[in-house]
Amino acid sequence: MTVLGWLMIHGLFVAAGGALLAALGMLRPTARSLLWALGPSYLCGVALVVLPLIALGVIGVTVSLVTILVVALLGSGGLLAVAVVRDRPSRATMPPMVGDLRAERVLIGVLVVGLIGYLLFAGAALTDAPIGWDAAHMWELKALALYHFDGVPDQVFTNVSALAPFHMDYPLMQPMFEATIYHGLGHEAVQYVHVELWGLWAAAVWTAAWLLAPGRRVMTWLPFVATIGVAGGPQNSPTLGNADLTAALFVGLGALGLGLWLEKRETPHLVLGALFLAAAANGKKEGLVFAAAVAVAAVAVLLGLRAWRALGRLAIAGAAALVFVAPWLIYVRSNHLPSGDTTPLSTIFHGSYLVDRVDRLGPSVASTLGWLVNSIWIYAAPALLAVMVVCFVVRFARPLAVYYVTAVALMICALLWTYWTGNFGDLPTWLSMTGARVVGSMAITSAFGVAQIASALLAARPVDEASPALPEWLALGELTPPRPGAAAARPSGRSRG
Amino acid sequence: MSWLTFLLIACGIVAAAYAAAVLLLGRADRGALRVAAGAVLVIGAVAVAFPVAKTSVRNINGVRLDNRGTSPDRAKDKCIVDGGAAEIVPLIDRLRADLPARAQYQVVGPTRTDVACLTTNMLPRTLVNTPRAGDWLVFTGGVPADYRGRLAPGSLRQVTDTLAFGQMR
Repeated sequence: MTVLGWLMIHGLFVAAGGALLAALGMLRPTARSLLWALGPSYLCGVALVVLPLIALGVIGVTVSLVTILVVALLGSGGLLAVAVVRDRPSRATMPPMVGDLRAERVLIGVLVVGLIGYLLFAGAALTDAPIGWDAAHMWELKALALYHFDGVPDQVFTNVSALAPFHMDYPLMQPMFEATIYHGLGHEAVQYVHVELWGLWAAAVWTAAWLLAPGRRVMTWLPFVATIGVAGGPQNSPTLGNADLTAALFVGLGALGLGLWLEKRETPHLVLGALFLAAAANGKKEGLVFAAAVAVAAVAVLLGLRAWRALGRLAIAGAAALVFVAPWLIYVRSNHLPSGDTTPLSTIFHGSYLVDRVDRLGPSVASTLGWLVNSIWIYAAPALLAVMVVCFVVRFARPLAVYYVTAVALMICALLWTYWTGNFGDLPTWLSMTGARVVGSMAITSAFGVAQIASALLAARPVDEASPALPEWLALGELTPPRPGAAAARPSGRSRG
Repeated sequence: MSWLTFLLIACGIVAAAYAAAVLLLGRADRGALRVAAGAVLVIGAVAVAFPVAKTSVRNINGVRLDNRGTSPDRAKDKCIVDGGAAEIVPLIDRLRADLPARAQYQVVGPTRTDVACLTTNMLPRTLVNTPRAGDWLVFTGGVPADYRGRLAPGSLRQVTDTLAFGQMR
């Protein structure tokens, strides 16, 4: 029964996510296309099923195996119907391009085999892992309550008198995901669930590759995806059962989705970006802030480009994402759940609160940037800064570079603000406990951003050699699209410098 | 000086791209810089991947060896042990085995561990402040005399000298 339940629950995730990708025109009905989209389908399905379950749970609906089945099947059925009606595969289904050089093929093989081997080995290494301290007090506590009580029981979720110190306001993406797995298995599995959390990371790496691959030479993006995939930074959270990586991987994929949309202006990327950011916002409180940072960066770039129609589409996608973010926030507010680590704005801006604590900024900057230049996060953030400098020098894809750097910079600022104003008194202890893992969102976003821009840098050829990876005006580094009458005056090929 | 390291790495990548454009492509115009920068980033990522992977494999294998053979019960009560209350682990084990699912219990005496950790270990059994008939009393500092009369006859189970539990009349 356990095996059947495992297959069923994962099959439901894949079906829901696959139906979404089909509805977006990102799947072809071929075995190869479906197999290649398995990881992205699973991850999309996790977001697509778990987010409605959170909304249902907080309004008091029973979240049992039946509910999970109904939500997943309704979602899959509806989206498949849309896919059948549309019946139009998009350009995003283009296959990845492998180079002609034998050495390149060998290196691709080594990277792919090494990455898959590592992800499988690491997953197998987590089968006996115990529940870490934070997980026992927050994530696993909530997951077990959601599972055993088929919903959001007051004994745990609003029991402020007993559980106030344990971050009752932390959101439910990971606990609901774990509870869903337990429902599928038919029993709690507090050790095996670490493997499931690692599986989310493996699926995220797969999804990044799947999103980046169409129309790009494999060797121009694979090294970045493979390197972040084997990095040491992502190991910590699944090992302990924490939610930092769960939030971070969705932040990174959300940023990549919006980045690809900014580059190609294809609606499916916008939809996926919004879905992943909604999941990120339900992953952790930092996830909410970091998802907002990504959205603000996209808005800023579109404002700079005066791309009003695109802004309108982004607003619609953002509103749709908010539908899945709001339920938990409303629940926290309406039940007066205390925040364990943040300080009310009325306190922050009262008297000399900020000035008195300004000495917290120096160590916070040192810790945050220190972890971003640590090998466990593969130096992705400084590489992104370098990419932006190059983009400005060569006048190539500057809006894209500005978008990623702005997103990561806003995340860093938000984190520094939290350290500066947070009510955790012992800052060195706070930094040592959280520093390595909370920068994950920034590092993963940076890695995906570098992958996207570097592959665009290397893909840029004269227009008669290859179709452009960027809209011509964007590739040329212009900040605004050409006016209709001015198009003829532009050179037809790309700038060769 | 992490900010300096950050900037130096970024500057190093830009400088490497410029050097690659000049030395390998023979020019430093925009097109050459663009290709050189992309190539430097790709080569850099490949160069970083292998040592990073080696460290990651070593670390995750350490996690595997450290946790090998950990039972589900020990995985759950790690927070009790880490919180300095290892002496109540036998009691928790007995409670998990003997109390029915959905049982409600009150702790009489110091909880020894914090409520969140206790709740994680005891779910779906829940902690209550005011027990009713049929609920359970968990004693962590011996059984007070005035509580003995409130227990159903024969329901008291002694785990150690000070740890016990019984069902309310």
